[in-house]
Amino acid sequence: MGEDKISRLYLLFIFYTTIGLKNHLIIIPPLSETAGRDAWITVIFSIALHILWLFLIYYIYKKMNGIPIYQWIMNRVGKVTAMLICLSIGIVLLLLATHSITELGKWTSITYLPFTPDLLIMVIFAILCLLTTLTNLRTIAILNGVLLPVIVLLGFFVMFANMPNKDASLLLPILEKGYMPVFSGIVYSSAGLGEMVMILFIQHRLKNQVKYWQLLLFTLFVSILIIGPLTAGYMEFGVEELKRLRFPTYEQWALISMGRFIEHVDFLSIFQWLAGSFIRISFLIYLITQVIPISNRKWKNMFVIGLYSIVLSITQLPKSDMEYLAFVNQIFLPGTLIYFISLTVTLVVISFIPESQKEVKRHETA
Amino acid sequence: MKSITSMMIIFLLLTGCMNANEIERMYYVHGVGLDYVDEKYEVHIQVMNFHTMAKEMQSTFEEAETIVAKGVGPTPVMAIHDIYQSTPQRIYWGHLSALVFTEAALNTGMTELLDDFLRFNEIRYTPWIFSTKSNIDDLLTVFPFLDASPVLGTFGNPEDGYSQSSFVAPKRKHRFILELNEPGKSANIPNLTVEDRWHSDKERHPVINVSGVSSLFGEEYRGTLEGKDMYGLRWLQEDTERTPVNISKNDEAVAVIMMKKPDHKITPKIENGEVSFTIEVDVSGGILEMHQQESLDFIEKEVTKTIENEIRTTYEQGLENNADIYHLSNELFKKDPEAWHELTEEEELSLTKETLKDINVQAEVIHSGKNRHIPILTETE
Repeated sequence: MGEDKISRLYLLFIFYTTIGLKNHLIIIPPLSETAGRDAWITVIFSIALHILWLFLIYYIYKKMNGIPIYQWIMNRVGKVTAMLICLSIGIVLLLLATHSITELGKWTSITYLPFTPDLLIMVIFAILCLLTTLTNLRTIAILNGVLLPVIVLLGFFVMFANMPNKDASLLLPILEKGYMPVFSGIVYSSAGLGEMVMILFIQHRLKNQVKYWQLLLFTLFVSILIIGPLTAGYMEFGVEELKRLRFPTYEQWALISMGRFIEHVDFLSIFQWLAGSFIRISFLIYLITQVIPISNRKWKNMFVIGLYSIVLSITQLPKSDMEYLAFVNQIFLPGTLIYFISLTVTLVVISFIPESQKEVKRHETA
Repeated sequence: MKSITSMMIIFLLLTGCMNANEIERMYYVHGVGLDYVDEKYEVHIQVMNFHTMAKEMQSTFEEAETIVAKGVGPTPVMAIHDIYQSTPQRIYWGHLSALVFTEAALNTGMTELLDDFLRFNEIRYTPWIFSTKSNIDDLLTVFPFLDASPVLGTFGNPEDGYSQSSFVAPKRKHRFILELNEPGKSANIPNLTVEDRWHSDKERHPVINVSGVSSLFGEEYRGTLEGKDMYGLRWLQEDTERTPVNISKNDEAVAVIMMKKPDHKITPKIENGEVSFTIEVDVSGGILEMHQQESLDFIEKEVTKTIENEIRTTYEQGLENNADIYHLSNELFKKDPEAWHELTEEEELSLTKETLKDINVQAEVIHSGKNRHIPILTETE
């Protein structure tokens, strides 16, 4: 397993799919609901804040210097604290994965497969992700290298094909209601970008070092994935209707018609969504195995299977889609943001504590 | 061997879509008419004959091309389920091309009707929206003649006719709803009538005619303009491709100029707490028909005057129905939302004839068609 390392470019590509999917599909509805017409300005503010946050992340990243997060914390504050922190990270990652697979199941059963039970879709999909998680990081990176270019190409396709349906003047007036709505949406756009913290869970598998400006550039590219479909949605449906839409990005696909006989191309969005979710869920669960290291191969496999079973059981908890949505938007997304911020601060504090000599020797042999 | 077996097991999971319907065992709704009669919703659906979709394949037997059913109920969904009671096969809505509202439906219950057609997962945001003053049943039974496929008729493909002669732009559902939602914006949709203009040696063919423009503001229907009353609208529509202007001198036709792709700009101006608007239109075209020898200057001047008059007439005719046909209110909202909030009452800007202050038209004639700039049968020097 020690050989299982990838270069920073591949890792950033995996992050692009993982974080991009969330920004693209999950962040946009609550963001447009709170920030309205000026939601794209919210994203810009979010990027500004993120420049600072990234600096902290980068600082911790430098301090960690290729040591797995569990060991790094243990060396400084001891086993119990390390266990608690890593367990909490694991739970949050598990919930994020659950959220992604629930969203996928709901979308499928609400829009294009209304007669197929969503649990069936999720079980099959989870098996696929499980098999991927059980392989290694390099496999995920290669799979992502095949899927991501197609996802991006399709993204360009939906952008250009919908050009005739767009009216840029709908973005006016800017700041009609002042800055209040702009700031109220910042929780959501930051909840998307904040997942960049996850680089700390996987940095020990990097072949070469990531630089600060690379992380910054990456953040800009990921933000385009929010701003693009968000503004496109405003230009195609108007602010009020976009707020009402359950799956705004998907509706943009359904809108494409090129001449009388090329239309209904929204089946291509199924590829985008499935491929993105596939990488995201596989990678999130893979991250859990990196945060909570289990060296015994057999135990590790049982552990991953257990994680997927928990994910699937949680998906069955919400009674209705409306209840689920209210929970996600009011508690889950702000919650993960607060968690990631406090985690960053905690890790910064921990980085000031010197390593104990005994532990240093141990990880050198590990 | 082991890996091959496990792969085979995975293939067993590829069972396809559960309870999927086979395409030849469904009816496809192409157009829907919505009416409101005696405090009840009436939904009329136009179902297409499946093999008329591909007209190149000669059908060997004669059959009706479309068929219309009617359902009545206290809500639109109940009206649709009323139709289902008498439907032999499953009805599929995914290929819905057009929604037609009668005036009664526009006056009452339009929002209820729309809500249903928004929420249901099979229906997209792409159907065209129309209004009609004719009988809805007559309208839905019309189909294109000479073996043309119904999917290429006015309901399925209104853009072709519009690009050849642009008066009222067809409007898709997403844009219609957007315009109803946007502050101060009104939605203009084509008004259809059934007319008896075409005939063959055997029979007469009723046709769908785009005869006017219906204006809606929020939930309210603000009347329909027809004929010359709506001519001004074409100069302020983004999609106008090609549209003729007739100019005359002492009531005798001089020439017809085919204008292409006009640009427009609306500028609000606030003075002493009152708002006024200036409309600028920039357009060019070529001579298509010429009856009298007149200078280019004269023609351009006359075209400019005609266009200015058309824009003003349409604006004032709209005002009679309380309609803001050029979205003037929305232009103010986009440029100065604060002033808009101050000047409007319940999102509505009160407009008078004087509110539209200036209309500046820049019309250019850039070519004279395949002939030179002289009328037919005139001697060339």
